[in-house]
Amino acid sequence: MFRLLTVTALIRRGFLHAASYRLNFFGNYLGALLVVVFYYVLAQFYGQARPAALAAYAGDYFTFLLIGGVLARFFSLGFKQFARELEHELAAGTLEPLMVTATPPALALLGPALWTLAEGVVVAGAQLAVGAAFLGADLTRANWPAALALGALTLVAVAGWGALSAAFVLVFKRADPLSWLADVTLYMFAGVYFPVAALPAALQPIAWALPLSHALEGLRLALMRGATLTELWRYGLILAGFAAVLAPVSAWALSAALARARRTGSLGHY
Amino acid sequence: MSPAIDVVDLVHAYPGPRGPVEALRGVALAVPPGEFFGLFGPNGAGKTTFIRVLATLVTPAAGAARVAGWDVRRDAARVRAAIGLVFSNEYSFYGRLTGRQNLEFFGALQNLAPRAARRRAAELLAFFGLERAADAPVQSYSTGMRQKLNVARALLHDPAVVFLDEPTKGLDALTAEALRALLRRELVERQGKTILLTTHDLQEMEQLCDRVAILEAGRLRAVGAPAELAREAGRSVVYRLEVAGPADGLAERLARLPGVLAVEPAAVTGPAAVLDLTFEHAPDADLWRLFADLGLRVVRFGPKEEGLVTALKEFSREVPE
Repeated sequence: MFRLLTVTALIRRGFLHAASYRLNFFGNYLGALLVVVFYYVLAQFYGQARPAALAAYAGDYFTFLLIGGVLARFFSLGFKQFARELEHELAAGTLEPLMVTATPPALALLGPALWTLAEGVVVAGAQLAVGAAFLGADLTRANWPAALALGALTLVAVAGWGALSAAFVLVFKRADPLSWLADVTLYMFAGVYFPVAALPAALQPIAWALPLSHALEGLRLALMRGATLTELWRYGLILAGFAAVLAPVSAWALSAALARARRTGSLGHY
Repeated sequence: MSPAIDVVDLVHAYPGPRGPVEALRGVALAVPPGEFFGLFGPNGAGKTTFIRVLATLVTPAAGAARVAGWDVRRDAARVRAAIGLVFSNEYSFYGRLTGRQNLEFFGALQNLAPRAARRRAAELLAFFGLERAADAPVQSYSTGMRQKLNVARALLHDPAVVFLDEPTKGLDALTAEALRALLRRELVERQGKTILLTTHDLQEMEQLCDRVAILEAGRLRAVGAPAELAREAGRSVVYRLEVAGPADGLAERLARLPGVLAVEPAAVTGPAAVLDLTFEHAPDADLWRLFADLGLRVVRFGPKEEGLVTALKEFSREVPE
């Protein structure tokens, strides 16, 4: 019960902080809407053509691009936001006050990112809804339960990476290298703008080594073709595997980084 | 009754470019519940490290420390629930949030239910005279207001033990005085909390603390009542007296009071006279009656800073490295 109240307080604090920058706050939503329009305009270059590489998804390029872009943005938050918010707390001098409260250390360290993640879910949903309602994205065959289950597994896996980045911040105070790596691999190899099958054969093994390539592939099949969880078991298994490895590794790394920061007295350093 | 703070052979060193830098070297200390305890020493003596160890922000290399009966290593969560920490950095708030929002947020993180957090935040804002600024962003607060909010945050969950790391740093004299009175009267005398204070203001230390520990280069040099330490250091107790009215013959009259060893005029500023009185022992309340008998209009009377400074110098010299 107390943990739920703490989580709610962390989300509320994030909202109040974000909303205090009014222009930026509403500008972000406008930007999210314009991105959907941008995907639509980009997809118009293909006209009614249906590239062979998209045949597996039984849909058009706009829908393919919308799902890839929207979900990549959201999962990218999972990769980066824990570290980014921790950097902000360090710079603002608020991390130590958080760490001397009755809140468990892991929640105090990762909790500041919860608002952005919660907002990300809403924004992603709204982007998909706008794309479908006004710009013709075809989600009529979507299998939502399968997509949500796969999305949740993906979030656990990317949050694991995100917590690793946070551990990195506790030790090195900046997580830029890990954020950069996450962004580059995500947008170059994970099939955000084009199917992994369209990559040169030599690069495809790199793509399939990333959890997000499997996530986007599985989610597109669920949302565009209506694939069931039974059909998507392979993606689910791979994502569960990533989650099973990344979750304990990141928990260990966070704990070790915190212990180190407490030993060296660097918890409040930035 | 078990001590509120119980420290045994506490050792800690930070990594440095030329090897470990020892911050605490075998500190042992017990502070009973309800005591206002001061930690005093020069910069780099290890005072802040000591508080940070007790607040579970730093894990000690060796030794043991218990706060409110809980071990800082094994029961860190219970220690955190039992303590309030006033940071020396008053910029430790979410500046774009209001004072009320900050307190309600930190209250929730101290496991207060939303209604209780709101009520407690309102109580503390009123108590510290911040009601009118309660709904303004903290970044618009003055240093004094931030520092009051800092103390209010530490009291949200009504902790038994409060650590104050330079709580009056940067405050003007009046605000500092008001905060001191509040800390002593409200928190210790009325609520019975245990307070551990670090400050560079020696008058504050002598005015507030029941006992003081002198920490120097990570070692505890002495522990005792401020006046006791000054006396042990080979000094009698020096108090500064400021009186309104003519100073003619005043020094001679004061010198005849019982327990007074010497009287030295320190300054005459306008209609007021300032004198340093050296006592054999710390004066008691009877002295006020004697002042009244002499017809003195006392503006200010309190220990002069030199007592603890001398004690620090003396005790630092006594213990060889």
